[in-house]
Amino acid sequence: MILKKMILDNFRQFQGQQEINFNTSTPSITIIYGTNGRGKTGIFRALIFCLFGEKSLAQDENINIKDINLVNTQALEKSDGKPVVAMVATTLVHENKTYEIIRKIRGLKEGSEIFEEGFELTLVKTDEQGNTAPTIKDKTTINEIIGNIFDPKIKDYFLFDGEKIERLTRADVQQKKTVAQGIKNLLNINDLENAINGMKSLLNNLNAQLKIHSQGKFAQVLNAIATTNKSMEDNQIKQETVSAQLDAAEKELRKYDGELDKINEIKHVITQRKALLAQEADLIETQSSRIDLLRSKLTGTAASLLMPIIVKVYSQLDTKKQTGEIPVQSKLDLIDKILKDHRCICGTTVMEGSCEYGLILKWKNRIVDSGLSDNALNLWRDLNAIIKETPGTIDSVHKALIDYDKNQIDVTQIHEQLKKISDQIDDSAEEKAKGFNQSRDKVNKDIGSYKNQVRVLEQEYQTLESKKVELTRQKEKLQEEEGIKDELHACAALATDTNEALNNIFNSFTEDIKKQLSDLASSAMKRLLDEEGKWSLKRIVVKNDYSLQVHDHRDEPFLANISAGQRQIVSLCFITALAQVATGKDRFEIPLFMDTPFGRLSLEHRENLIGFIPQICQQWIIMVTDTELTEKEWNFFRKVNCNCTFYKLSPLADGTTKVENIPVDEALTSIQAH
Amino acid sequence: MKMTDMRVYIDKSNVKIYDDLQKITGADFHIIFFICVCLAVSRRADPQKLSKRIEKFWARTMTPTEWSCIYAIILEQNAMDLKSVENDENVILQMEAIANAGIDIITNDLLKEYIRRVDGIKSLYSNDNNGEAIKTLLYSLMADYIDRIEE
Repeated sequence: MILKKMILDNFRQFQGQQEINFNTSTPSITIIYGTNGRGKTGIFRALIFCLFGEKSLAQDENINIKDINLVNTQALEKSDGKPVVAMVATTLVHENKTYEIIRKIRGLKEGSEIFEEGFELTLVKTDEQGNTAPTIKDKTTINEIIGNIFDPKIKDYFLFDGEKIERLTRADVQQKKTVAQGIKNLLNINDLENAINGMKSLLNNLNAQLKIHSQGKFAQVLNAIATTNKSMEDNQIKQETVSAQLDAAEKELRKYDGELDKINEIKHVITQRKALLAQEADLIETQSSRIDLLRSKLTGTAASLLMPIIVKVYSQLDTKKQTGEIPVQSKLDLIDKILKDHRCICGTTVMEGSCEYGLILKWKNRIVDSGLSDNALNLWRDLNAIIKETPGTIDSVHKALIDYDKNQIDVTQIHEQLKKISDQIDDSAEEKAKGFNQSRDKVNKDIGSYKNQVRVLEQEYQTLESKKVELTRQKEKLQEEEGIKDELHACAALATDTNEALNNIFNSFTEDIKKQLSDLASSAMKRLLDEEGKWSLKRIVVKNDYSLQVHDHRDEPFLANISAGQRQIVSLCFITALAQVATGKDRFEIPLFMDTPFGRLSLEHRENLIGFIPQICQQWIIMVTDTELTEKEWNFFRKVNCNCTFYKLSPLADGTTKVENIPVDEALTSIQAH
Repeated sequence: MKMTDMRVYIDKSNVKIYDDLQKITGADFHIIFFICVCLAVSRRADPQKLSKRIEKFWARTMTPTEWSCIYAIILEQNAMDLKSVENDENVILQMEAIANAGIDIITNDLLKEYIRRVDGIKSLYSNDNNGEAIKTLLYSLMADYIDRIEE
């Protein structure tokens, strides 16, 4: 089957009529690209609705079907209370015949409530010569035709969303249920299961009748068998109850994990905040030393204001120095020596009472006292230093101010970044995380207890089974010894044998499928994992209890140790294996729909998946978000040797979505625009 | 000169301003005092006698540069009479009156953005870590320096 075209009219987010022409080359990829909430899943939903008339998907398990509306809400708003018809027309090709299936649904808005009802279903078939048969309107006939093209039971293996992939990654009751259901659907053994249940019921009735007609030891054995059967039934009921409790607890655990994940998502912001705070502390420390530097410049800068006075006083002191007024001590010593020796340094005699003596004495008296002279000399030196230092001081102040301002800008920027980050972080996040962790621990304990109960019940069941086998053997022995050969006993013996035979057939079929799935999934895993994963992980195993297990290179169970991305790979491998088994071909002929499949995959895993899927399916329709499809992933798609069609889901002002076909050459620009 | 074992006084009305200035700049009182002196002299403000003298800091905390500048001022005002700087007590007394004029320049001009009046009492307020007030002071002092050079 090849999906050719889909027309949506007032369906979900798609107001008015919009069309998607899928790429029909084989192999081919049709990419539907859009941000969250734009209607990628809506397209997937449209196909399910058109082919099978179903409104809900696997991901809607916790949603009331009444709350799922298919008719475009905006069209209903505008209709002024009149009914609006939504339509999906799907054109597909199967065995060279073209089928156009049109399914309509009518919606009506009354107040805040929306009512919807199925309205019309038609199918038009055109053969390979182009002859079109009359339109079929009978629902049963149409469902039969669609069922022949695409078995509704196996539809889930070709149409799967991120939720389903995610569900399979969890080693819990849900996983077992999904795997078990998948295997049962593949085997198509409903009739066999019905026969087993019928035979079990018949056997119980026959044993009950035998008990009535028996006596002695034989009656005791029959009684014991009946009691054992009853215990086994009770055990099964208990197992179902505890499994349901376990299921609910695991759901609750996932809920807490989800909340904790959300908190973890802001962990990187918290880390970023820590880094910024450290940066801020460094800057503040630098700023503190810059402030100290600026403070140390206050005196020098203030002194610079006195420069005219300082220069003036300095030059006058300098003159005094030049004229010998200062310093004085050496001069006084010299004068005293001249006066005492009566001889000048030039050799002239200076006699007391002479004119020269009088002049020298006058000079001596003019000189200030020596204390003042020393201070003046010191001041002369200090002022000289201040004059020399001032230009340098002014320059260094200027530089220090620039450095301070620059640092202050950095501090302000960091503050702003921290403020932005703080707005994103709920300060109570850590408190909430604590609460969630406590609740999670409690639920986890409950899970442990439920698992333990299941284990005990399973062991009890096995013991009961062995007891039953033993009792049955005793019964047969007694029958033989006592020669009980009446018709009732013969019937019971036949029913027992038949029941065993049917169970053996069931187990044998199941084992075969499990092996096939394990082999195909393991082979896919080898192609999808990165080098390290290929070395460490050997194969995927479907266990007897229907849980999935991954074995390491020593063939030991290893699932508990693999990463979230590797778990997703395991899920994808199992799902593709289911699809391969369902069609019985390595390369299946049914379109494979994948909704947001890249989630936790690393870039290398994404590249491997993009390369692998076109090898196992002829038409791949992939719906991706802007975070999943970047230039890198696009380049991986371009490297794959198959035709590609690109659709973009763009938001319109009224909240609806427009489907746009973007030429492949322009797709990259469109991706980069995000 | 340099009788360092003595107190420097300021006017009682300026005690809060001195305390606030120290708080917002982190500078010691002798630096604030010296800035006031330099500003008053540079802008040729008339010395203002202290109406009520309050001890504020020890003269010995003043640096040699500050002393040298103060002596230069006194010498310049006293026709280079070295005897005018003989007595530090007199020198400081004159400087107190000059600084008293300078503090008004700081509060009315340089740091007027930092002035708050609570119940009629002037105070200086800053919510940052000294940096901005020091920066404002330095920029103003440099601007005055350039003005003096250009004169």
